[in-house]
Amino acid sequence: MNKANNNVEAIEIKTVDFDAIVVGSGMSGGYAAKEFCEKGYKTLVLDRGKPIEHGNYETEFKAPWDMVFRGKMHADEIKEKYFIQKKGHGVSDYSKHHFINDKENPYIQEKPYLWTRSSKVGGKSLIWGRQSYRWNKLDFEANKKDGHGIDWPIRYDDLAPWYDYVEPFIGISGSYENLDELPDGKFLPALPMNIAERQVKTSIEKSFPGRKVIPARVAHLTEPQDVHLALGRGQCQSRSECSRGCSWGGYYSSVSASLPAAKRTGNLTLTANAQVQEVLYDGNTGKASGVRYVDTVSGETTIVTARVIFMCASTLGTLQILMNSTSKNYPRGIGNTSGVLGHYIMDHIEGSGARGTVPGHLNSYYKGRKPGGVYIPRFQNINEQQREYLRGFGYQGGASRATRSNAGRAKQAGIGKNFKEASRIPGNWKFVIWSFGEVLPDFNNRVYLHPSKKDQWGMPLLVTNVEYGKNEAEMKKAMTDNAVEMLEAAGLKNVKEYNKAMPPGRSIHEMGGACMGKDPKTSYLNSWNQSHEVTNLFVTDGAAFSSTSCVNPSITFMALTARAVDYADKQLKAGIL
Amino acid sequence: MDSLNRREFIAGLAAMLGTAALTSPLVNAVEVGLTFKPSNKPDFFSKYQLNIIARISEIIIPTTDTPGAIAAGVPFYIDHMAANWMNKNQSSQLIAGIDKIATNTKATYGKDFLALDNKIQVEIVQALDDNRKLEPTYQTLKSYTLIGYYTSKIGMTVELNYDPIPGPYKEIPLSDVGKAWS
Repeated sequence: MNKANNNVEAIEIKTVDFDAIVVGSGMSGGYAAKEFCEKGYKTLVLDRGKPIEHGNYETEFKAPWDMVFRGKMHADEIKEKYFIQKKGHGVSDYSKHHFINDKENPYIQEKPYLWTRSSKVGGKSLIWGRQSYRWNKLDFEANKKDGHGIDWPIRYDDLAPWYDYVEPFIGISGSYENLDELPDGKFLPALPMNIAERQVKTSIEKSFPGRKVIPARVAHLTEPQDVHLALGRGQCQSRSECSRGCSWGGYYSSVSASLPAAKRTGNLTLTANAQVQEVLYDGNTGKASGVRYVDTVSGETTIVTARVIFMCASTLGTLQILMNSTSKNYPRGIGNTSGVLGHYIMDHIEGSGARGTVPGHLNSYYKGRKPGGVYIPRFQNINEQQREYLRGFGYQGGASRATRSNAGRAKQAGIGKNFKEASRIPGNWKFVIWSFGEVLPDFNNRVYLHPSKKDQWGMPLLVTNVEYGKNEAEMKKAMTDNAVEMLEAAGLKNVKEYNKAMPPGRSIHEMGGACMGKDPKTSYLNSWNQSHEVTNLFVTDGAAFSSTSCVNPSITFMALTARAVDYADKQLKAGIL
Repeated sequence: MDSLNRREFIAGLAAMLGTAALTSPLVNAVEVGLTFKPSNKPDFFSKYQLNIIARISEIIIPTTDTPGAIAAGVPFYIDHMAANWMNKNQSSQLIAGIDKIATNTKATYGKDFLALDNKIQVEIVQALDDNRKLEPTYQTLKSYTLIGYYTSKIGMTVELNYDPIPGPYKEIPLSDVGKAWS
């Protein structure tokens, strides 16, 4: 490794420090690290987050009474440090330290964009929603079929073996349903549906032939296998405190699974607090030679070299680095002759759904806080275009008994012994569903670097210019209407819709910007997540995605990553890379 | 505050809560409640105001077969939140509202709120509850009482069933556990 001089171009690289550099250690980076290390490559993982040790999660066992404000975040703290993160998912007094400090890490919203970021090694795998679904055949064909975005250079069948490969390691609980719209995977036993969920399932499936209500597929160990136990992972304990970190490794995170798997090979070097600012390009070889990073604590700059570079720094993080990697050959960012880098930013639309009361079953209860309820796979525009909007959406949700022992009861009448005793009994069964919908790829939705503004470490600030269009608006309305229609048909009482406007980014499923495609003129990556132009540069996080499906993307990040490492391995061994 | 002062304060608090409070279980319960705040000195309210809060919260969540709001530390929780969590506007509205309850009570009953019979105190709180939509101070106190109680160790482990590490999810009849999980 070399300490950088002021003139980075002047560094002469005589030795290669590592076989592979992986930038980022979340969903994609953790998996890339595992794969490279297991194949025998000396691998450096750089992550801008702070270090974290699995099994040493600072709030994991805190009860509310141990917390200074019983788990409420202070308004001043939100205003000071988490003014963006708090608008997203999962930030609480128990989990806030896993989220980035918004004041120290600015970006510019030319149009509103809610950018959720992790502050730790492990990235968003520590704080993710853990819902895990395969994409279907339609998802990979959609761009070609309706003409929006760039045609994927791969199809479902290209990826299916890689889902087969990653799922057993991740550990995904699910039921076998044999649905074209939601392919089955390699599952651990499904989470049980509770009595209210079973009733809703029966009613909805009867009222709406073709619609299915199935157990949520989640990356939780319902029955740990040897591959999990060998890493010290164990049974999910139904605590529902996942975003604090889980010492059992009951849910998948790179901190509990892929990074330990990489580490035990002896091939892993993991550097935290490392803000990668640039992928270095060697004009003589036409390849990436390494990366330049700044230690966010010491401020020191380091250059490190490798034979192959994997960008897994999260969709927007990766794009920011690639666009900042300029050279004589690539003034608009490494490998970006086409100018497509930063375009086609997508997310999922959310904020729509419905809730209601399932009457009865008052002596039915449960032990444990289930980490997933139900899933209703996409049922729109499957075999033919039936709706006024293109593509589709699915619903997540579930049922539980209402809590009476909370501040909400202050609005209701009652004091004294009777009030206290009534609060002791669980309330009615409540069922809720919320939707994630596919966003159309649009060239105009883009991110770029601010020409002059930089963060405290010298990284140019990212500017977001992303907005939803007409298709998204129409779909969002249908997401609400269909939710109400199903819950009413299922016989629920007090059915209430909700339809909140949510800015892009809010679902934390950001994808696109370095899209895969067949044509180097219109896409950034080829069918192997490899730069069309700089062949030892790969992007395997969400930035590589040419469309979004409507299902949660994380296991697809991992499947594509494992596939790309396999390809890179073969190319390296063949002496091509 | 040294331990003698602490005991005096507890005794004073108990005395103000009426005769029922003088029985030793409740004094012990008050001690438990005060463990939330080691110094025993309210940060924000006067002792008088804190005693009104204590009385109202205990009427909302009384001691029954399980400990009530005072034992669970609710008054000091509210004091702590007023001192450290609420903004100035919220906390000064709360303090003014409590003073108003005290003033109104005195005007109506000719006696200090804390000196009234328990039965009359309950009537006053019941009237506030019936009229809660027009009583923001009471609404705030009730809301914080519920949060403070049901996030306290007593509220979560004695009043409700605490299950920090449940193990695999399973369905059970409610009658097996009899009450809600906290």
